[in-house]
Amino acid sequence: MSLLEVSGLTVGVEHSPHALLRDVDFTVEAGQIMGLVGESGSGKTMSALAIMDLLPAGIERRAGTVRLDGRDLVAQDRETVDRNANDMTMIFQHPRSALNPTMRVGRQIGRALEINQDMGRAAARSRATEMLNHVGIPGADRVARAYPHQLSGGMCQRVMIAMALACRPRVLIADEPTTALDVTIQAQIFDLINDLVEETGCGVLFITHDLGAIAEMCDRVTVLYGGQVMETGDVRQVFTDSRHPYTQFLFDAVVREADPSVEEKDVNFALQGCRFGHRCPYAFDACAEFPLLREVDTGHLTSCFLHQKENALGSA
Amino acid sequence: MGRYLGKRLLISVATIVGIVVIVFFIVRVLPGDAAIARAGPYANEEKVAEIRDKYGFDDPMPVQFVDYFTGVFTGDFGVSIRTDGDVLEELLIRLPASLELAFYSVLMATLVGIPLGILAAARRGTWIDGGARVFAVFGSSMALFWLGLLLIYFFFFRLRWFPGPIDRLPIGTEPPPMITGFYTFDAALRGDFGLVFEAFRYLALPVITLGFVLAAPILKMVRASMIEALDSEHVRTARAIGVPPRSILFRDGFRNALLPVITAIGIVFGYMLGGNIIVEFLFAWPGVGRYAYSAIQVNDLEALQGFVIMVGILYVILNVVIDVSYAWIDPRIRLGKKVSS
Ligand SMILES: Nc1ncnc2c1ncn2[C@@H]1O[C@H](COP(=O)(O)OP(=O)(O)OP(=O)(O)O)[C@@H](O)[C@H]1O
Ligand code: SF4
Ligand SMILES: [Mg+2]
Repeated sequence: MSLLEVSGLTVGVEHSPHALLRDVDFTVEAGQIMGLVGESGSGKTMSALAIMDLLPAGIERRAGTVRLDGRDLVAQDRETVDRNANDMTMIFQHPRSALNPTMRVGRQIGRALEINQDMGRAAARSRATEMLNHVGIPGADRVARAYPHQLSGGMCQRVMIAMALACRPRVLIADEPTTALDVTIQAQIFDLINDLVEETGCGVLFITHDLGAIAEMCDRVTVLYGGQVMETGDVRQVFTDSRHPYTQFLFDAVVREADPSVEEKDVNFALQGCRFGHRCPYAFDACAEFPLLREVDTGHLTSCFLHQKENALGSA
Repeated sequence: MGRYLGKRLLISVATIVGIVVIVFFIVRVLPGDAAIARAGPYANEEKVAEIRDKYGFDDPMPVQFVDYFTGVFTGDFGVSIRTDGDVLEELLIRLPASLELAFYSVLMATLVGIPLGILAAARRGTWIDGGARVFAVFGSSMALFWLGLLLIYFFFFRLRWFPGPIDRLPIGTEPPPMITGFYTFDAALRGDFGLVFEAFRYLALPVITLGFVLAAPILKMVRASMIEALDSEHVRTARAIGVPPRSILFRDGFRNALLPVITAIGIVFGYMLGGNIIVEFLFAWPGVGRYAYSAIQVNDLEALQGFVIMVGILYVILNVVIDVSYAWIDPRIRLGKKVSS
C-alpha cells in the first residue's frame, strides 16, 4: 500500500464542462520522492492544491480519491479533504507572497509548531529560531524578527521550508521549491529535502519543470500534460524507456536544446480525447477518446492508445 | 519612520495654505451680495455702502486677500456679518458639538459595518452575505434627511422614546463644565450619570441617522478587502499548516484587510466633518454645520470661509492620523527593506 495514493482526480472550473485535470493518478511511497513534471500550465500546482483541499474559489474537485495509508481523505460530498498539517503540508511556488506580510517570520514558524507539535508559545519561539538555523539561515535570531518583505526570495523560501518542516508532515508537497534561486541555494534546498526524507521517512511530491532536478532528486516521476498524466514510473524507466509520444518529445526537445518550440507555453490542449492529440504525430481514430493509464512494465504506466493497442495485440 | 512622518507634516502645511487660498477665491465668486443681504430688504443705497465700507468689501481683491491671509495665520478669521461675532471664536464654541456627533456616528457605523463586513466575507454567497448586501444598498441609497425625518416621526412624535430634535440637552439644563466639550465625556468625568444619560438620549436619533447611512460604505469596504485577504496566497499557506479557521479569519484575514478599512473609516469621518450640515439642521444641533448653514442663508462670507478652512484643517489632521496609523499597522511602510544575514 502506498503512503499517498491519488486516483481519478478530476478538477474543473465551476459552471464550465472543461476539466483542468482529468483522471490524474499517481502514488507517493514513504521514504521516496515522486517527481511531478510538466510544462507551465500543465496542472502541477492545481494537482497539489486539489490534494491539499486548497483550490482557489471558482475551481472545484469533480471526482477522485486521495488515500493516505489506505484511508480515503475526500469527504462524501467531495467538497472537503479530511487532512491536517501532520498528514500533509506544502511548500508553495511563490514563497514571498505565501508568507503573511504583517507577521514576523519567526512567529509564522512558531505557530506552525504550536499547532502541530503541541508546543507552548515560548518553546515554539526558540524552536523556530533553531529551525531557521537548521535550514541554513545565518543570523537566525535577527531573521526571526524580520517581516517577509525584508528578506530575499531565497530566505523566504527557506522560511517556507522551515514552516513545512515544523508541521512534521508524512507527505510533503514541494511546488517548484527552487525556481528563481541560484544554483548554490538550489543545492542546499535539495539537501534539506533529502535529509528530511532520510530522517523522517516521509514521502515527497516534488513539483518542477526541470528534468535535471528530477534526475537528481527523484525515485519516481509522473509526467503531466494538459491536466492528463502522460506517463508515470521509475525515473530510470521513464527516462530511458519512455513510451508516451509526449515524453519522448520532451526528452528529444531537451536533447535538441536549442529548439525554440520547447519553450512553447501553449496550453490550448485538446479538449476532447487525448490531451496531447493536437500535437501528436501518431494520433489516430482511437485518440478521440480519453486514454486512461495502462501498465506497460512493472510500475510503469502510460496513457496512450498506441500502447493499449500493442498490449491488446500482444495478448491476443 | 521619522522621514515618513516629516514628509507627511510638510505636505500637510502646504495643503492648508492651498486650502486657504482656494477658499478665499471660491467664496468671492459665489453669487449674491453680502452687503445687501446684511443690510436687509428695506435698506437704502447709503446703508449698503456703509456696510461695504465697514467690512472692507470695496477694497481691491489683492488687499482683501493679503488681509485675509495674514489674518488666518494669526488666528483672525474675521467677523461674521450675521452676528458681529469673531468667526474663529464662534466656530470653536460649536466645534465640540459637531465632533461629538461625528465621533458617535462613526463609532456606530464602525461597530455595525466591521462585524457585518467580516461576517459577509466569511459566509460569502450565503443568505448572511445577501442580507449584508441589502443593508449596504439601503444605507447608501437612503437620504439622510428622509431617514432623520422618519426617525423623528416614529421615535419622538409617535413613541416618545427620544426627545424632540432640539439641541443637545433638555431646555434649562446646565451643560457640564467644559473639559473635552463632549457632554457625554464631561458629565461622566464629573460623575453625573443622569446627565450622561440625557446627553445620550439627545444624541441617539442623529447618531442613528448618520450611523446607519455611514455603515454602508464601511461594510462594503470591509467585505471587499476581507475577501481579497482571505483569497490571498498567505491565507492558503496558513490553511496548509493547519491554522484554525477563526484565527485565519482574524489574524490572517482581517489583520491584513485593515489598511483599506482604516481608509474607509477615515473617508467617512472626513465626510462627517463637513457633511453633517443636513443632520445638524434637521436636529437643530448646535454645531458648526448649522452655523455654516445659517451663514449661507445670508451670504456671510467670513463665517463661511472660516467654516470651510476649519473643515479643511481638520481634514488634513485626519489624514496625518490615517497615515500614521498606516505605518503603525503595516510593517512594509514602517520598516525599511532588507535584513541581511
Ligand atoms: N483560478 C483559475 N481559474 C481558472 N483556471 C486556472 C486558474 N488557475 C490556474 N488555471 C489554469 O489551470 C491550469 C493549470 O495551472 P497550474 O497552475 O496548475 O499550472 P502549473 O503546471 O503549476 O504551471 P507553472 O509551471 O506555471 O506553475 C492552467 O491552464 C491555468 O491556466
Ligand atoms: S493517445 Fe493518441 S494522441 Fe494521445 S499520445 Fe497516444 S497516439 Fe498520440
Ligand atoms: Mg505551478
